Amino acid sequence: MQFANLLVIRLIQTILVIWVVVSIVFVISRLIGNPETSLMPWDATNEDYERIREKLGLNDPMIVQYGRFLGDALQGDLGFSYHRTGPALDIVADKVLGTVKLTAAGLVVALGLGVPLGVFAALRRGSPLDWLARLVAVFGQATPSFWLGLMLIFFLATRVSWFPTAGAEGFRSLVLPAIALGLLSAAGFMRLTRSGMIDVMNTDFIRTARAKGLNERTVILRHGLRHALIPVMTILGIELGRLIAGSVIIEVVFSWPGIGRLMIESILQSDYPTVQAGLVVIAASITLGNLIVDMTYRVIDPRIRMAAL
Amino acid sequence: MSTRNYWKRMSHRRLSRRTLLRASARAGVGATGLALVGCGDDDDDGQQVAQVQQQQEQPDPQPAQQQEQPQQQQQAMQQEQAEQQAEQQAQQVEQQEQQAEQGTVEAIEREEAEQDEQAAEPEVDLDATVRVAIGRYTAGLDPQRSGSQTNYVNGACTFDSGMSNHPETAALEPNLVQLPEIVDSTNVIFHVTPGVMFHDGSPYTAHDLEFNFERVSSAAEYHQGGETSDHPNEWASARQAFGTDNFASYSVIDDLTFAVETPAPNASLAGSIMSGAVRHVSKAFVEENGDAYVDSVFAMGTGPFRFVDSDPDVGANWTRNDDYHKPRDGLTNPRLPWYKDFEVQIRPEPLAQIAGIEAGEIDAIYNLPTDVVEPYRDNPNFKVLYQPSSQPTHYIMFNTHDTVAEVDGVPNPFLDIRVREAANLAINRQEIIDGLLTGTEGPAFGPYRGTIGYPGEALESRYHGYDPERAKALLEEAGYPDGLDVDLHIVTDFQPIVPILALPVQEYLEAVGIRTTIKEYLSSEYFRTVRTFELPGMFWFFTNTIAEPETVIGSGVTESGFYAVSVYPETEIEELYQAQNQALDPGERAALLEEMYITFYDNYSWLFLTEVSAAAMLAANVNWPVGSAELRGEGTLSAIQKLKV
Repeated sequence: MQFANLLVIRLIQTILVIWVVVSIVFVISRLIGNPETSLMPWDATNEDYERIREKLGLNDPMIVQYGRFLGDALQGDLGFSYHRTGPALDIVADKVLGTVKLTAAGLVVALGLGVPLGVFAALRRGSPLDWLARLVAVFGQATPSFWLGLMLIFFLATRVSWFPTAGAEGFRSLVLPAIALGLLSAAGFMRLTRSGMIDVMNTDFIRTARAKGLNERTVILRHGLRHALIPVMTILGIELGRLIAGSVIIEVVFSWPGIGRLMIESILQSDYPTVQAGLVVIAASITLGNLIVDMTYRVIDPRIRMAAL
Repeated sequence: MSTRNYWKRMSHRRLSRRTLLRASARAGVGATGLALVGCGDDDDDGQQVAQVQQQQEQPDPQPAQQQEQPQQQQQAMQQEQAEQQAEQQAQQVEQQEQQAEQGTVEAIEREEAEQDEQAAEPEVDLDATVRVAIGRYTAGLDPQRSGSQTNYVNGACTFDSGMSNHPETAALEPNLVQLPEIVDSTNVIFHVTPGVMFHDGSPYTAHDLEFNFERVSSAAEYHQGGETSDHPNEWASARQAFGTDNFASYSVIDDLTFAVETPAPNASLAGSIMSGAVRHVSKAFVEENGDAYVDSVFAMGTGPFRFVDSDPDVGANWTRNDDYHKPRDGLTNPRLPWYKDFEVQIRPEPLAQIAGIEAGEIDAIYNLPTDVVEPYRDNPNFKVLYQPSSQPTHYIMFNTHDTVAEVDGVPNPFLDIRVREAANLAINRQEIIDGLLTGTEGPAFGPYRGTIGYPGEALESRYHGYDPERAKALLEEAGYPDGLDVDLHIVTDFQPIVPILALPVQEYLEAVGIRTTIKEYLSSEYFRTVRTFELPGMFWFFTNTIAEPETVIGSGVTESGFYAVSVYPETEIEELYQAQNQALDPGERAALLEEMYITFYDNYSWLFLTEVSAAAMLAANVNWPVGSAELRGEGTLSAIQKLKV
């Protein structure tokens, strides 16, 4: 199969995933709340409620509402926010950059911490360094990110004032949320890299490389790590989704303006259009992220590329 | 029952330096005195030792018979001398003690005077920026549009209300409008305070006053299809009940005079329509720019702060309105602010808010859950203050409407006063207060203590108490020897304490035989559900902090109220409600209110629960003085003082 064909198929799959996610959210959101109650004052009459329901089309049968929603969505219209002024998609789009920054920073922490630690632990297997690295990995995987976030604020922002406690002003404000977000993934990357490196470093081609007289750095980085990173790349897509999902709570803890906080606010206010628009963007981000990882995976591993053809 | 002021009970008392100094001075004086004088047996021992010493210093004794009499005389003299010496010593010590205490007290008084002087004129930094953290900030800037009503900060900073309340007595005070001139039982004249200016320099007039009442009731002409009704989700009033729907007629007499005729005598009119629930906008500004602009782009009013900018996910900024019409001194709120710039930071997580104070990024937080401030109570770097929460008293309403006269074919149990009494006697409020709350709250009696006409001791002395055995007996007497099963409807996202308190309440009720099934709702569903009066069972509810009692009475007690789940036509409650609402004389109204509240309480009309408090936390160099009837919150933001370090 040609690479282009594969790309098209994956794009279609991505659109289907988004459609399924949004459809589920559409149904669930209408089952759990009535937005008109949060739009109207406490002393509004039943007639007032009926008027606003009629205006928002909430009295129509669910299937009619759904059809209208899909038709508008295909034209890029996800409706107006009930509580903020403007189209819901524009409101969400304004917050995309904040979440992208945070997720990217979390990914940098995860890879930047997880991969080198994994390599060192594998090369010094059984040593105190290996033991320490595994301990960090277990800690990272067992620690809830919101708790870690609060601890980071407590020690690094209030005790020593190295970083601000909240907000999104400048690079320093990104450090703590990125660590809180990325540490969990870093632990996963560390364990995968370590086990991959241990396997690879015992293979024949590594012995051959050493026998050829290559220096150890080249053996490790060019031959060993390159192969050990393949499983890391495999889970990168999954971790990307986890990072985006994790950013919701991190954005709340660190008062970081992003889609996550917007979604929570919107859910609390029964702001359907904004919730739906946010989910479309999140679902699209995760599936597209996975798509990119898959494509990259095929580029860096010739065996998979060949298998696909 | 304690009659002490709620806020005084709630205040967290700490040992001040002055108290410690005074105590140590007294202890020092006391110790000195004890050392010099001695006391009790030691004193006697001292005298005996002195006598022995004196005896030893005498020449050798003469033959017994010859020397017996002079020796006795000598001993008597010596004893007298010793007593005199001891007395002199005691007087000396007493003098020293008096001198020492006098000197120390003078020193303490000097220090107190200095401190009082400093307290009277604190070195407030008038150019400071005060930063406050809040958890949530809705996007809308329009103080009258539904959906924007939770943006209380902008409402209180940028805009003003018609009147305010006295910070100690909660009585109405002039603000944009003077106290009403009562013409007769149904005609009232409101005089606009002269000289009040909007932030754009235009004067506030009676035309603005009229426009605001029309806009709040959605009766403003331009809302009926005019050019500015351009909000995408339609403009809906947040305070419909405070508008011109209450008026039989109204008219602007001149630029400073607005006349209102009411359909019937209405004692609560001024307290309702002029309260902080309605913030006044500029007629010209709204008509010129439109609803959407006012709600999403720029806020302009007469308030103590001028709006600068806002981002619903980051925060908002204001700067002091130096032309504000009320002075800075005194306690009246709002007032000319004590600081120049005001910044609100949005921090959804309470612990992140507190971290902001610890890191010096935040100066004040209010409406915090009390448990999160507990570790900071004795930390000298912070000030922790307790006060009633925004829903200060909690209660449970029994649905006694005709719609549920029968439940599953049997009579509604709550129509029987014995069942209601049993429910009230089943709850150990003190245990809830000590175990789940801060320990400083009291039982609830219905209205909030800060409302106008709260009866105080007259009501509190009738406290129902806790008596589970009597509760069981009452249920049996009422025909429920095996108890009964009912639903307890609660709202889970309005105040976090509700689902926490619901569990012990459920257990207490079950212990006497009232088995409840807790039904949880989000607030977006709950309030509308309550108002249908169709579901049987009990509904958790709470008062607000608006000083005008009408908002609670009118909605919860009178039979036509929005949330009047518990109605008792067989009592005099409705008549008393109507009578107080027509009593234009404040004294007469207060007496009727007292009678109504007592009748309501004695009727076990609700399951009266407890007060609930909230906390405020300040940096050490920040003061936030408010009167006993006001809360640290949006309405008193202009009272914050940031001291020069």
